Amino acid sequence: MKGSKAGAVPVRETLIASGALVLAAAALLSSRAIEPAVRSHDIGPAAWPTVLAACMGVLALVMLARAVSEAARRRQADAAGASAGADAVEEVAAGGPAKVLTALAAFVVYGAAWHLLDFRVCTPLLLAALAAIGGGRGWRPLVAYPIGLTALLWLLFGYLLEVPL
Amino acid sequence: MNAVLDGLGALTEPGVIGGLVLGTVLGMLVGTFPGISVTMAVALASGFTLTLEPVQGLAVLLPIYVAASFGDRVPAILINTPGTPASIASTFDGFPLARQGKAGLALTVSAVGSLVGGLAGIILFIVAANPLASVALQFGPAEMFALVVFGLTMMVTVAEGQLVKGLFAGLAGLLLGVVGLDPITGDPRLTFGVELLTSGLPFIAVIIGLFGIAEVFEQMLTHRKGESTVITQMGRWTPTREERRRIRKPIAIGSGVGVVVGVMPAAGGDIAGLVSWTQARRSSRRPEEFGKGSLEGLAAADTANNAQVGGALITSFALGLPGDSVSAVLLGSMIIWGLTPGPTLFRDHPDLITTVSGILLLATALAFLLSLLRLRGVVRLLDLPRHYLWSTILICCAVGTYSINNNPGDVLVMLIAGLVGLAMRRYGFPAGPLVLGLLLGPLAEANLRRTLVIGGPGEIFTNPIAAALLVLSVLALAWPLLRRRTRASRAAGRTPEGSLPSPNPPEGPPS
Repeated sequence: MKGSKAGAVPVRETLIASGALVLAAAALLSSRAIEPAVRSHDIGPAAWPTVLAACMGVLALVMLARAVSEAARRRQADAAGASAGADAVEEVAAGGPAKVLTALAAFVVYGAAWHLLDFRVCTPLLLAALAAIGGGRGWRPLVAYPIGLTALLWLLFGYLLEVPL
Repeated sequence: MNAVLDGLGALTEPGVIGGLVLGTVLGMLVGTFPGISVTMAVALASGFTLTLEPVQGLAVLLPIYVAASFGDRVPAILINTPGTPASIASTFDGFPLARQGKAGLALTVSAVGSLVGGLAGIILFIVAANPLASVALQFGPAEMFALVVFGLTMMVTVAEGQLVKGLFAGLAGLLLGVVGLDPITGDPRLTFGVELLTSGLPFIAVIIGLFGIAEVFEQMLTHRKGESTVITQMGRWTPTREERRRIRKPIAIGSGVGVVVGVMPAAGGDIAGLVSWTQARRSSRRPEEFGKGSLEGLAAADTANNAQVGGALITSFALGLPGDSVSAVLLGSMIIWGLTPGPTLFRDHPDLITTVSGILLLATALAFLLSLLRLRGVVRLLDLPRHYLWSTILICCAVGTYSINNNPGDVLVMLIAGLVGLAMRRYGFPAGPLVLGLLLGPLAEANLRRTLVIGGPGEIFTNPIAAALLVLSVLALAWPLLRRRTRASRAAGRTPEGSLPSPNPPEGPPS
């Protein structure tokens, strides 16, 4: 168990570094695809992003090398019976990912509903949904609070700042 | 003289006064609520202020920044949770003092320290900002390019332990700054045929996503019920003569450390507080009390936290280099208002230094007075359920972002930036360098290309100021690595005298 916890960190870092490398490669390809419409004495529009993407690639390789060497070091430490220790990453709470995904889904539905319904109708619904996702129960968080905050936002943005909500 | 009078005259406008009061109250609340960072609050408020006159907008945003540094001490002392990262060091002694029944005294002492520190930072801003800008006015493209590189490396090096990831995030920010039309040739770059991207990424939407949405999502992901207990026994509020005498020295140390750390690009209040706390302990006659409820430790940390604000604004306004992520957001708003932060700012708007100094002074005074109010309601507010906080922040992020251009596409960019910000937090990439890169990228590229056209690549390395700044940048990058190696070689068999305490675990108040 000890080894699996300690070993998870280098694996995670290896995956992160690999992701960074893919991102850098994509940035490099996109940058090299930039074509100047007019030739000039300037270095051109593609040079700066290409250099940046190349530097990102180098850093991603450094991250990858570090993660791989750390994995090897921890394997040796495990074999020697020493505790390598795991890096501190704040643990995800039970139900945490579901809350984030549901909140995102609520926003997507809200965005679609805004085209069809008035701001003053769909915003209380979104707020009630978000409050429920956060654990709110009862008439205060699910009814009074959404209506009150929507009224405040409409007054501030729609009425005072004249934003077309 | 006219510029000074004009600057002071701007402070008498009702819109400016109203904005200042509103910003200060908002800043106090923002600081008091753990979970709302100052960067998030300033980014959110930017959405509200973009339609205002620049001075009115500054009168809202600057006081939020100043007052949040006063408000963030309250939860640090009462629930052992920093209101913002800048008040981490306040928990070391603030919460132990509160558990000893001295919460009122701790709040008063930290408010006094915050006032003195804030004033020290503002005095430095008044004295140094204009001369620094005058020197920087002599800079050509080569020096400006090197200065931007220096600013970027400083941002990365303060994210110790995340050097490579910080650099990667900074480069990603620079790359995102490329999105849009090329400033010289007009060619579309990294737009992928998306019309929304031809005018570049909407800066405010990106920062609201990175700091607002990502923060709420992170809390949703990791929050557990019943994690804190509020101290309700406040005890006495007024320090004795002996206590007043004891806090003079740490307040002086905090003021000095705070302004110096603040001037360093990208070093924020958290670093200022930690360095000041350590220095105050070293020079104290009672170092053993530090971490267990020392008024000296608390005073040193809070003084430095506030003193850095003035220092950070010097580099932001005079050089266009953000002192921290809050300043980066502030600079983004200024650009949208039509002000160009940097050496030309005070030349083009000579009255602005007086107006900004006046806003800072008034906000500091108002925040201090609010800090002295013994509002028991604030203590109750700390128990506000998270679902109210989360949903309010999320809807304000969405509506605030939409209101900037009345464009739903900006809200989409904000949500994507929020997810990117969440991924960055979970995978250890600091968001600050990305924002700095996004802001400074166009400046760096434009100056580099001008330099290359004027004198070729040699121009950067033969220009003494540019070369010196680039050498400093390399040293700034190498320094954390060298220091880590030195520490590792000394670590064996050494007592951790200089180490910092971990924040005390939240416990119930003494019965």
